[in-house]
Amino acid sequence: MTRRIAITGLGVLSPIGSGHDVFWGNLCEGHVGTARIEAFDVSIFDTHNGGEVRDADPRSYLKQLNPAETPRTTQLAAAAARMALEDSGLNIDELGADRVGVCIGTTMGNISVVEDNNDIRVEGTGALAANLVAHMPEAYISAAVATELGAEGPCLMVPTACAAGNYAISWGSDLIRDGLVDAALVGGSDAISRACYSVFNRLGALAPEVCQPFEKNRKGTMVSEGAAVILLEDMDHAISRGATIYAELLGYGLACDAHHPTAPHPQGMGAALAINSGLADAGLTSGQVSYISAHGTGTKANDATESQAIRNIFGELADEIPVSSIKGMMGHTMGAASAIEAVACSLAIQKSMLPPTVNYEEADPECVKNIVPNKAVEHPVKIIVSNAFAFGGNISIIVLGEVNHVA
Amino acid sequence: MLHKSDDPIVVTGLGAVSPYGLDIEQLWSSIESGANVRSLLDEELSAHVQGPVYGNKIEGWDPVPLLGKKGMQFMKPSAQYLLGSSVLALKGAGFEEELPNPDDLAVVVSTNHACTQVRIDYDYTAITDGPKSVSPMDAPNTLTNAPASYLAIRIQSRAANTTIANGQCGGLDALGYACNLLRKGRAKYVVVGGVEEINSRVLWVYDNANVLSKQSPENAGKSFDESSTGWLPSEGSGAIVLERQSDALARGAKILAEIVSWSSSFVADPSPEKRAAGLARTMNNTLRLGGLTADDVELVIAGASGVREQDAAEAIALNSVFASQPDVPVSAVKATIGECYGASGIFQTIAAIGAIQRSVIPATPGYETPQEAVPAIAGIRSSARAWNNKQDGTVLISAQDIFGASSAVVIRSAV
Repeated sequence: MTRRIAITGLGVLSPIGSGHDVFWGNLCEGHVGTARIEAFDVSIFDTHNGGEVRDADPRSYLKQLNPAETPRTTQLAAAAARMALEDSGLNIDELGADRVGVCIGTTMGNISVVEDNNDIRVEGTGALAANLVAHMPEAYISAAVATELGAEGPCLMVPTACAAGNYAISWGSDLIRDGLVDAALVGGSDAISRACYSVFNRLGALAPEVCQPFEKNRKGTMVSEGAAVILLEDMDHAISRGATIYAELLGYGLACDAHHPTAPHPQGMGAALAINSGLADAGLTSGQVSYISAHGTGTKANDATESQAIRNIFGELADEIPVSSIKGMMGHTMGAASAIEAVACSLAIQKSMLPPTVNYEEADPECVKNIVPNKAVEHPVKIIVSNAFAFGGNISIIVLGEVNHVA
Repeated sequence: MLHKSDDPIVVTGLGAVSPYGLDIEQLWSSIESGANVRSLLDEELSAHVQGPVYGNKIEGWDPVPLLGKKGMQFMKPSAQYLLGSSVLALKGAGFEEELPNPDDLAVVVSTNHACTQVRIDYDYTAITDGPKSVSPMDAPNTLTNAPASYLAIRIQSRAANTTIANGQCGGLDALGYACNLLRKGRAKYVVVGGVEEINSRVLWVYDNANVLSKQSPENAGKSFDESSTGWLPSEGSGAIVLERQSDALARGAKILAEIVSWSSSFVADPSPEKRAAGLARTMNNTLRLGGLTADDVELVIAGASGVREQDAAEAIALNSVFASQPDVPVSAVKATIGECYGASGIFQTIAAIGAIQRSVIPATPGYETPQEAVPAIAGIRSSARAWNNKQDGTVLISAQDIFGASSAVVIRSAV
């Protein structure tokens, strides 16, 4: 019999706050966490805003890793993982260290090492610690999470860019389904990055002031940082230890546009394929979905093609099912985005509350219509589809549901 | 993740772009005999490395004869190598005239450093010459999923597209990931690729990780040998086409081997004893998932690449797992291939399939003296031997990463 997957721990560091209580409070209030970036000199760019984690220092969560040898993306991942594990109340040693897997995704990896080294080249003095450079490979991020928390099951890094969080969640769920582990720390992480800012700046994809997903006058996305890790756990195990179960992970879908290195398929073909596949995996039909957590980056192309994909799958329901993109509040946290959105979805299910899409005034006829505007609304949430798309046409969607202990 | 099944996952195509050329038979011959293509890397490549470094570099690469001109100018060598090996693997699998339906075809790629140099250059250009000086066409190349993305566009693969960056374990992990896609019915055919390139910044990271030779660089890459001074960096791409046996049989494809099982685990403690215990656990789990025991294994394709601590851990693990058949043949093919990091597991698997196809146990060139205070491996030889694989031709392939992961895959002859 296929094992079911419970979400029993949530860890998040984001531009609208860290720890899931603060995060959820600010999310429901429609708090905008983007502002002028302080981590690097933005004056050379055409735009200046982005999202940074300012209310928490990830280094303060580390008990095993040496912060001086740990790049910021890895610090954020390890801090989020520790939060998730503590939130879950799971004792890894009691479960068996080899029964806990890890999978983390990222877009820019440990890019702070690159940028710090380039600053040294420009300034002509200084040197990075050898271990900081040695820790630059993306594999270190997931390895550091496993090291920090003592997990000894399979440990994987999936650098599938801005869909990476959902990829990591999907892999963790299969490890549990197939009985290779009983729990998995899964999520995504990206530190604020000048190189990333440079990429989006050059592609003309950055909004000058705020990110406005699905809004008619949207001007682009916003580069941000953050991390989220969720603890996935075998449902029976979670129930037997009396854990708080936020939501059930019901399935996932993968696809690739195979169209263009940076632009989405004009009709959202890959997105539609992945949503279909995810619903089929969960044993659901499109009519059963209560809410769509959109990728919604705030670029012209993403929000319009994502809307086409939603219309393609949901038909007449496409303009009735509530849709939000929380990127209006925190910008695009890159590889962390879909993991942070998974935290938001888990809480939306638990609290029967839909997070809003902020900075939303005028509907775009090219986009889906039933956007949850500006303020959270109470609404029963039984089934959520959460979308994540990436450069490279990488697409991963997950399906989450209300927990039904009886089933 | 893979269990005994009525419909095994099989290999139907292989491709490689390596320092040993583009031909699989030639690559197999080179691996068997323990050929040597290492060269002293030039000053430009070793600009950020202390002291001279040898490597297995692809010389005179021209993607055009294999891949045509279109789009090549936007791709870095890593993407070109991957496209080359994948096109060859698909041809080998019988998809020369017509590629599979895009919705049936998935791509899984292991790489760690595909974008490392590009990221560094992109950021440096932006802060020195200004953000308008960076190329928009280079933007996707700053991401590790770039090679897999170009490949999907090239071969029209829409079923799934996953990039894995898991250090030296990534290649075997990509095989495990791909088998899961097939088992779950998420794809009908998967191209599993591994790719790395050698450039000055990749070597910079390796050097800081203390895996390159600090002295006697000519002794780099002597797997399991007392005199080895570090790993021999390598570049290139290997690709493997996987599908379910029923689909392979239905289309009349030649089946080269069966992928029986994969598993992986993690140990943070860097001591060789602890890492050995982790690797042994991984090997035993992988055998158990395949319904096998250590006594069923007829050949081990080891992951040892000449880094002292890693080689010691693997020697301890092999002696522990194979206590009941201590003379099981072992080949450390990285002594020939070099350490191709994210691509290593794919090259090891190609070597294992070569052993099955040609009944030859590859050499471990340079192996003379086991490390002091580490148990010797009885079944290792510095030259090739005939392989009298009597049973199923079961091969255990192992890998461990410097950060603590270990992975293993079991393959065997096609039924």
